[in-house]
Amino acid sequence: MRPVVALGASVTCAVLAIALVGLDLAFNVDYRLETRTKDGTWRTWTTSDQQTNYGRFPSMAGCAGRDLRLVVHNGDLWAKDIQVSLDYYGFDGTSAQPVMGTWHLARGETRDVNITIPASAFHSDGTAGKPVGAQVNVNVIVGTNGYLSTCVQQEAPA
Amino acid sequence: MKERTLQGALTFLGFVISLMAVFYFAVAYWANLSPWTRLTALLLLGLSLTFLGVYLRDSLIGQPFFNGPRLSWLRPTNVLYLSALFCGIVAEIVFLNMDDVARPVKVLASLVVGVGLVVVVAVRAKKHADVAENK
Repeated sequence: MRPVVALGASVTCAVLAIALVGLDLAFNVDYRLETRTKDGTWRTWTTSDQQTNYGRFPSMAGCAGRDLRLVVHNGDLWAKDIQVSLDYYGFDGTSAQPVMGTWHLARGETRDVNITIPASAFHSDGTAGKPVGAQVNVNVIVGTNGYLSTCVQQEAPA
Repeated sequence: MKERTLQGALTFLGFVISLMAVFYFAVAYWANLSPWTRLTALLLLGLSLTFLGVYLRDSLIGQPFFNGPRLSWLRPTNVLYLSALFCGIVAEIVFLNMDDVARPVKVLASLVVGVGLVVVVAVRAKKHADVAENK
């Protein structure tokens, strides 16, 4: 193979790979999780752009009874539909993972859902008490096996 | 920049940093990509690295990084070929882990590609050997 042809083929393959990855990243599932603060305004808590940080888990004591709004858009390049669920997980050793809601979105669809974290959250027996910490998860299943999840690590906006 | 070892070390460092940048990008955005994009991008990257190795083979940059018989194998073309090999292996792992493809299809496709590669390389090698012999 002539060197010029090899160089051209190499550049072409690299450009195609970059373009494909760029398109897949650009056309993706986007979501925004908002929470209502004490003064009644809605503020963004986390978005799909944020990296999942498996650092420390702050106490979510202030989240019991919180109103949440999840805005999801299925802009994925390949998937025909996605499944989105929102759940919370308590770290008291015995907590289950109650699902607060599950929704299916077709390609191009945007969904706006409002839910409230139960006031008795983080205890599997449903009793209120001193929460020891928990995390809220936004789970997105793309196609048959894709899975995107954000663990909301930071404290909710006051 | 007359010293050959320094030239080789800097060139080698340049290749390593570039490949690490590509690797970091792949790791950082892996979870956000669909399986088909991962597979196609890995194959294209592997092909790109292979063709780049072919291009650099006879160039000035294609010389071994360091002088001496023991390190004569360490040259840009071999680094690129090995990186392409790694891309191919990871692409196969991605393909075998795809839920969208039926298992029999995975096995058949993998066997066809694997055996096909061996056969094609052997046929071409024999052809080149015959041509060299006739010369």
